[in-house]
Amino acid sequence: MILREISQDGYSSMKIQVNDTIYEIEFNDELITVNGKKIDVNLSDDKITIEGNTFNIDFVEEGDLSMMIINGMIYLVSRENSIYSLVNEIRSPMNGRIITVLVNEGDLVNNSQILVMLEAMKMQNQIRSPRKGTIKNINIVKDQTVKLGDIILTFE
Amino acid sequence: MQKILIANRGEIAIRIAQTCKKMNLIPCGIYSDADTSSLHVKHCKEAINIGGRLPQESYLDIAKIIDAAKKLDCNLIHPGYGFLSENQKFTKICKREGITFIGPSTEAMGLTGDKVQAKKIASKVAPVIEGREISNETDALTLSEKIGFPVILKAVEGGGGRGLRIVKKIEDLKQAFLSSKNESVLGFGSDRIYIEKYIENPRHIEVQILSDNSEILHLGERECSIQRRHQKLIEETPSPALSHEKRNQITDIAKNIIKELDYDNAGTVEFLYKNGEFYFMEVNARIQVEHPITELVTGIDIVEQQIQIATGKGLLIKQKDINFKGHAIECRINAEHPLSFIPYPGIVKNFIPPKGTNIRVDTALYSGYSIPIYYDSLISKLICWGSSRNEIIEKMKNALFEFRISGIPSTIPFHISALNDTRFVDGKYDTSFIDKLTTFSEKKGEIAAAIFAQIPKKLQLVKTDEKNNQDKWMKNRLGWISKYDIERNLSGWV
Repeated sequence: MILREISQDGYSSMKIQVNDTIYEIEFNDELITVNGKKIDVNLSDDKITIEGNTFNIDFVEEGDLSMMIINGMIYLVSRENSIYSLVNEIRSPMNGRIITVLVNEGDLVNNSQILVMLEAMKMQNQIRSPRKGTIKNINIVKDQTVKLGDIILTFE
Repeated sequence: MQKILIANRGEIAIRIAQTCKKMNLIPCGIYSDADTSSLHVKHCKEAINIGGRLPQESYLDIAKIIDAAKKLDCNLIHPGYGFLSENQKFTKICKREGITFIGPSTEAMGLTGDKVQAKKIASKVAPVIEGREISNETDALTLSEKIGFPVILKAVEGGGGRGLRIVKKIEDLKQAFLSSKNESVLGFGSDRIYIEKYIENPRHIEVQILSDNSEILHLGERECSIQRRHQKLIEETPSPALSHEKRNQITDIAKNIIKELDYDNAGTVEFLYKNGEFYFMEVNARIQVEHPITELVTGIDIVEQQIQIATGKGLLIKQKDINFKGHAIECRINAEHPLSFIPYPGIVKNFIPPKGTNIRVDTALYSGYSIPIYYDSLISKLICWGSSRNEIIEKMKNALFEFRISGIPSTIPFHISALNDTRFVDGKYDTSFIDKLTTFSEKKGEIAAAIFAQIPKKLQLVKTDEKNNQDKWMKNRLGWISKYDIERNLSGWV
C-alpha cells in the first residue's frame, strides 16, 4: 500500500498566500497553472525554473506561517487561517472507504492534524484538517464507504 | 621553520593559517570532539584533538592548549578572536612557558580588559561618557540622579552585550541593577557594575590601530552601527558619517589613547558618535571579526603585522606608507533565523559562495558540513571592495543573491533587506537601524514560493534528529536572550 497525503482540496486547486498576495495553484500531473494561467515549470529538488527564471529554494521553515528563503530573500507563505478559517465542513476528496477515524466530536484540532484515513484504489489517504477548530459532528463511522463530496465532518 | 599554534577554530583559524604559510611559519591547530570535521583542521599542517565539546572543555581550557603547543613544538600562539584572545591569565602562562603570544603584552591587556580603568586613563586624552563603577544600590541611585536618565548599566568585566541594562526611569533601577549583577556573576564571575549616561541611538565607529613600542599607526575607521543585541551584522569603511576633519580627529584621538595605555600590537579603539561628538568606549585587544574590510582598503595584512610586532621584529610600515583606497563592506552571515535571529544549527546542504573580483569570503563552511551546536553562529563573512560606495552596495547585493547556503536558514535575507534600505544607501543610519527594517523580496519569487509550498514532503530539509539537537541548543541559547527580545524579534522587523 502506498501512503499518501491529501489536503482538503485534494488534487484540485489550492489557494496560497505569499507575502500579501493570494495565488491559486493547480497541480495536474506535470501541468501547473497559476491563477488559471498555464505556466512552464521545471522542478528539481531545491530549484524551480519558471518561464526560464531559476529560483533556488535555500530554506523552508515548517509550521503554520511558513518562511521560505528563495534566492536569499524571505517569502512568508500561508495556506490556512486567512483563507481556510472559513471552511466549516470536510468533504471526501474521492470515493473510498473510511478505515480509521482519529478524532471525536468536540475535539479541538490543529491545522494539518490528521482527521481520518480513507482507503481508495489500494492507497491509504490521510485527510488532514485545513484549519484549527472544534469538531461539531462526525457524519461517518469506520468501514463506511463514502463518495466524492460527501460531508465527513463539520466544525463548530 | 618556526611552528605556530592557532588556538581557535572555524573561519578565523583558516584566515590566520593562510598568513602563517605566507610568512613561512608552520600553522598547527587544535580541534574539539565536536570539530573533527571542521575545515580549519585541514588548513593546518598538524592538528591535535584536545577533546571536549563545550568551549570551557576545549578552546577555553588553558592547560589543554599549552599542552598541545608543547606536543606540537610550537613556540608561538595566535589566539584569534573570542575564546582566550583577551585572557590575561593565558598570556601570563604563555610567557611563563616561553611561548610567544600573538597579541598585546599582559600589562596592556590587563588595562584594556578593565573597562573602568581604561576609561579613566583614556579620559586624559579623549572625551568619555559620564559615569563610573558603583559600589551598591544606593550609590547607583545617587549617581543615576546626578547624571540623569536614561542610564546604562554594564558589567565591568563583561562583553558581548551581556549584563547590559538600559534604565529610563528611577523606579526601574533597582531591578536592573540586581539582574545586571546576576548576569555578570554568571557570565564573567564578577559582580562589578558600572553606570554611565546612555546615549540613545548613536553610531558605532571604531579605529584600527597597529602599535609596536616605537610607532603607533592607524588603519582608518570602521563603521559598525548595524547591530542587533550589541552584536555587529554589517561593517563598512570608510564611515559614510565622517568628514575629512572628523576622520582625522577620531584617528588622532585613538592613537593618543593607545599611547596613554602603552598598548602594543593590533587593537581597536571603539567610540560612540552622536551629534558630531565622539565618546571613547573601549579598546579591543585582539584581531576583530571585521578586520578584512580594513585589509581591503589598505592592502595591509593585519595578522602579518600582529606576528611581526609580537615576535619583536616591529612594524615594517610607517603611517605615510598607508594609502586608503576605495570602499569595503562586510556582511556577517550567521546560521540564524533571519527574522528572530535565533541560532539554528544543522546540516548545510549546498554551500556555493559567490565569486568575482574584489569579493572575499572568509568561511569554514562546506556542503554537507554539520554546524556544531556548541560555538558561535557566524558561518561566513562576505566582504566586497570597490572604488565607490554605490558600486560596492550593488556588488554586495548581487553577491548575496548568488550566495547559496541551503538546508539551514541564514541571515542573508537580512543583509539583502538592509542593503536595499534607503537609510543604508544614503549612509544615514545608527544603531537603531534594525528596529525599523522591513523585509525585502521580489514579486516574481512569490510564484516560486507558492508552487513550492504545494509540494509536500520535499519541504523536509531538516532531519528529525538534527531538529531535536537544534531545539535543545536553541533552548540553551535562549537563556541569553531576554523575553522582550524574543517577542520583539519574532514579530519581524516591521
